[in-house]
Amino acid sequence: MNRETVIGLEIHLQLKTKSKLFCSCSSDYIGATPNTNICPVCLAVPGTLPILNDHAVALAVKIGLALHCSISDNTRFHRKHYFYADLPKAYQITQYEHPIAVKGYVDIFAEGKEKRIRVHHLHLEEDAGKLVHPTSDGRLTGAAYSLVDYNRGGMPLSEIVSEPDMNSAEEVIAYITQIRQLARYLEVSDGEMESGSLRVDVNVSHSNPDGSLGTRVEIKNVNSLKSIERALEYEIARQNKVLDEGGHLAQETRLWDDVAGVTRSMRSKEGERDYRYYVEMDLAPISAGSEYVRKISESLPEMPWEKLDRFIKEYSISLEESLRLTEQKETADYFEACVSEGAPPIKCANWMHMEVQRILHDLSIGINDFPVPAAELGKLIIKVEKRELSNTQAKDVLAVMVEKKASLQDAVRLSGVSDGKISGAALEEAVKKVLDSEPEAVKAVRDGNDKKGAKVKFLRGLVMRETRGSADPAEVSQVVVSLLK
Amino acid sequence: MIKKMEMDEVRLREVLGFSCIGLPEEEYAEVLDRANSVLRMCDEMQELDSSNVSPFEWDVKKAPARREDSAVAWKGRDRFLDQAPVREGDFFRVPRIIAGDDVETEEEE
Amino acid sequence: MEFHKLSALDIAEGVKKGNWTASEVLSAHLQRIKKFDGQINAVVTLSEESADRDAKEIDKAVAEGRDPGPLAGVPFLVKDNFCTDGIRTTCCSKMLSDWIPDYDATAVKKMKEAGAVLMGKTNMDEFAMGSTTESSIFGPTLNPRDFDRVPGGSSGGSAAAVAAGFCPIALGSDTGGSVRQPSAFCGVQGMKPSYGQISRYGVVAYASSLDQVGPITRNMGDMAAVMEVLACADPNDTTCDSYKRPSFSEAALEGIKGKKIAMLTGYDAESMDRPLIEAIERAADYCRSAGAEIVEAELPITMKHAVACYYMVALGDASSKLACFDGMRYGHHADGRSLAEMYKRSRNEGFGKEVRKRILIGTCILTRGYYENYYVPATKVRQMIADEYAELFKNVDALICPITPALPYKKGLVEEDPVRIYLGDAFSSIANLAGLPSISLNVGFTEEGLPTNVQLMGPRFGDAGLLAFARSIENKAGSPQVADIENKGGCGE
Ligand SMILES: [Mg+2]
Ligand SMILES: [Zn+2]
Repeated sequence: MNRETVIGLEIHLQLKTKSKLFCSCSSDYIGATPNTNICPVCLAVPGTLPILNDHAVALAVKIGLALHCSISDNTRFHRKHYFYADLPKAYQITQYEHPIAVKGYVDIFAEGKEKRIRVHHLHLEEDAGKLVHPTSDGRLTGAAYSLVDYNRGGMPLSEIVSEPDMNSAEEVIAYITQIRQLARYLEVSDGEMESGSLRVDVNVSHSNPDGSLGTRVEIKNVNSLKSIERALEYEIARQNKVLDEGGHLAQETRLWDDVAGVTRSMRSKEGERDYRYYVEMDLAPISAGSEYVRKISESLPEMPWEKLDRFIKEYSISLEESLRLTEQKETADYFEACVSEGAPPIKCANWMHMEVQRILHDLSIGINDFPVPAAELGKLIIKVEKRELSNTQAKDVLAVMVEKKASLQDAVRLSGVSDGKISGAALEEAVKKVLDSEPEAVKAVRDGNDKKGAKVKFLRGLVMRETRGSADPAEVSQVVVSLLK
Repeated sequence: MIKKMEMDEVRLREVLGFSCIGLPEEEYAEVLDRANSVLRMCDEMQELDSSNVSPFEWDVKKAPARREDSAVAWKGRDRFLDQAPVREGDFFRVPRIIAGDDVETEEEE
Repeated sequence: MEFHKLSALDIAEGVKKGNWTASEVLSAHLQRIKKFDGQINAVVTLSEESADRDAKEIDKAVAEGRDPGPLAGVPFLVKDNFCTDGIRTTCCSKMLSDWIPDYDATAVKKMKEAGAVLMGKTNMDEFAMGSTTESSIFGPTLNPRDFDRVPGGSSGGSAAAVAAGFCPIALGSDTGGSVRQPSAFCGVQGMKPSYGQISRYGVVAYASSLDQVGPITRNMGDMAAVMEVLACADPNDTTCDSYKRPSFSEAALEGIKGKKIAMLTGYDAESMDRPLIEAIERAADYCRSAGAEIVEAELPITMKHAVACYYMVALGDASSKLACFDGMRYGHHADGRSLAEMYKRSRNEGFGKEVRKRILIGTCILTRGYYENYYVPATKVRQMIADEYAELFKNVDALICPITPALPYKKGLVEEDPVRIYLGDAFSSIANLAGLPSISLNVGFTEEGLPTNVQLMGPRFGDAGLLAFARSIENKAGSPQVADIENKGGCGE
């Protein structure tokens, strides 16, 4: 069978601006009291006019440039008409014939290889409000009415429309991940699917043996990477089944039902839908002139793929390691700060991959909240390099730095490894720890059932192991004995 | 290329849906008549050769600056909600909506 | 003192000099409105309390030696589609019959800042859709020059109020002639400035790319003064140009000696009311005697296609701008079992018949097929019309042509002959399509006392030059006087 699944995506990124796209309402709406981030403009009060947020334009240009698009120097907004409770003007101001950025691409890694996904265009548009469906039993159906909150209405979105260049769920996930990474590198969007700042509509069709594309089905309501994967799996199988049985696919919009694990037809009359697009004359044409674009392009940070290449070359680390380090800009920055202290890059990469990652995972925090400054970690790694600390000692020191938010110097002292020896209070602490973990042996000694001293010897051995041999054996014996009294 | 079009009952029904306006059947003829007289008035315009002309756009002498990105809270919020036709606490209330409902093609009962 | 006969500038000068107070001027005008508006129905809402307060503010400023502004103490009225803070703004529709905005339209704000005193709101065709001011929920306005005739529309209330001496200045909005046609019918001066000259913020839209705020006065001196107050950039309206405006008052004083003025030819003059043709000839004579050269000009594309083009653009946009009235956040609401039913019932009950019809036709124009075959060609023809004018104004400074093909209609014509009313927009809508400044200028009255106005057009943003041209003609023709409504309509003394 020569049929291949063909997938294209529309990704909506909520842009990180202080105010909405066409009015001065705050964009800080998550958790806000309903209908507090509203004003006459975003409520479509008669007489009001949209005023374009320049920063939103700049962010869209930024993404466009990063996606290798050409930026139009004369772009226009259109009105897209439909009546719905979340759309106060009964039209959405969006870009249609003259989007701000066109014809770009992004390279992804999937199924072990690199692949180029073309970007058809990127445009700016306003978000809709939110509907709430209260019910006594919490179900959607059965509610007597719905409620509308316009806090999100008018938020700036940048819609990135890909060409139908993906053929598998894995590629789709890789593409979304790449766009999300880019959004975060550029600091244009949080790119979080959970909070809705990154939303995806999936278009699935099949290529026919003659190369033409089959009927396109749009899937909405996929709110996580997991549900996209499941929805695609379901939809591809469904389409194959229909086609295998000689049936026809309807061009339609289908909603993903995450609970039932199926897609359901939402709008069967898709063909009749007529949005009556035409030019929004309340807004002057936007010119993002070459000077404007040049300034933005100069402000672009190093792209993730550029960083990846550089890390491999500059630090001689593996592709795999480099991918891990550059996944988040903050991680990459941390790594480089570490290295700039003079620590060997490969060792830094190792430490970040093993120790730092483990601690972040245990504390469930991000690298931004990691309490140890990169420079301190760098110095710690150097100490290991100079054999001032063993690897195990260094790990203990790091643990103290995290736990007590201590500086390297303090942590070394607190762990009692300052001159390679553990003694005094630190030793006492270690011994206490060992005794606490061996109540039976301790009880035996205290009850006088250790005539041969084997249990004491055993406990002393444990302490020596706990202190990694850095304590004076005589002192250890002395402390053990005194604490067992 | 030029297509002279009539507005007929089928399109009128669609348009009634798109514009969320109801019309008693006895008034169809009147509206169709008026619409078609406007369209007939426009037929000649269709025949004008405008292939090399781009759609109308304003000449701008000096374009106004775009808005700086700063947030300003609106003071009229409470008064506005008080005036709203159907309010429920902090919300505007509407009849029950089921996900995927299509307002514009909803069948007349 | 007969305050109602004074010009705005005379009133302001007297207030500033202390010859009289803003409060005196206000109460004289309010009294006149109360006495006579029962007959002509030009005013739909009076805001006496706020007007009183504003007038006292002006008097206080004068007493304290502060500058009360160029229009100090000048009472004015605005069409009921201008948002006014705390004063109901209905568009003369059931849809907004009890809606009170919490902000002033920029034009209203500018007038107040200039010292003018807002008295209230004037009657209009529902949502500015009409040419007779007969479709208002507040009932029709009568023409103060002849009570059997309509005042024109849609800013009929504003034009009638100025003609009746209710105020020396009123504001209207002009989408296809809505300021200038009623000015012609009521025998006053009305202007539609260049598109982008005055902020549209706060004016309830009919069609975004055609609407423009327009002042109505009884003389060009006042007109220039109002223009100077209103024309400026506005951060709330990015379609309002931010170029630096010249002084309109100074420009209006310049003569037109040596200027070249075109008279439009190539239209069917035979089908027009004769006195209006004579008025154009009269206006041309005045220009000639003021030292201008008269030439002829033909505008074939414009004359053939303007009305059709105008209807496509205006109705398409109106269907879009009036979609926000859904009974949910403001305005007339009707219950429904579904969202669709609520929308439909709210809109059906809230909008009048004419408005609903225009929305339907406009929506149709934007749907598939019609959009490609009618709407898009119209936007191209619009560009061709704009180009035709740009070409003309390379060679001439102004154009004289009719503003309406007919003298004021008798009441009720809109029911009898709607097509004739449509075609009445043929001359006035051109300026909106091409974004040009246009003045409806009175050059006298017929023997039976009906006003004869002509249209003057200039190049885009050539508003100042056009004012000079209109003022030169007015110097010879004389400016229209307040209508003699005391004696049931007439041309005045
Ligand atoms: Mg979109
Ligand atoms: Zn807002």
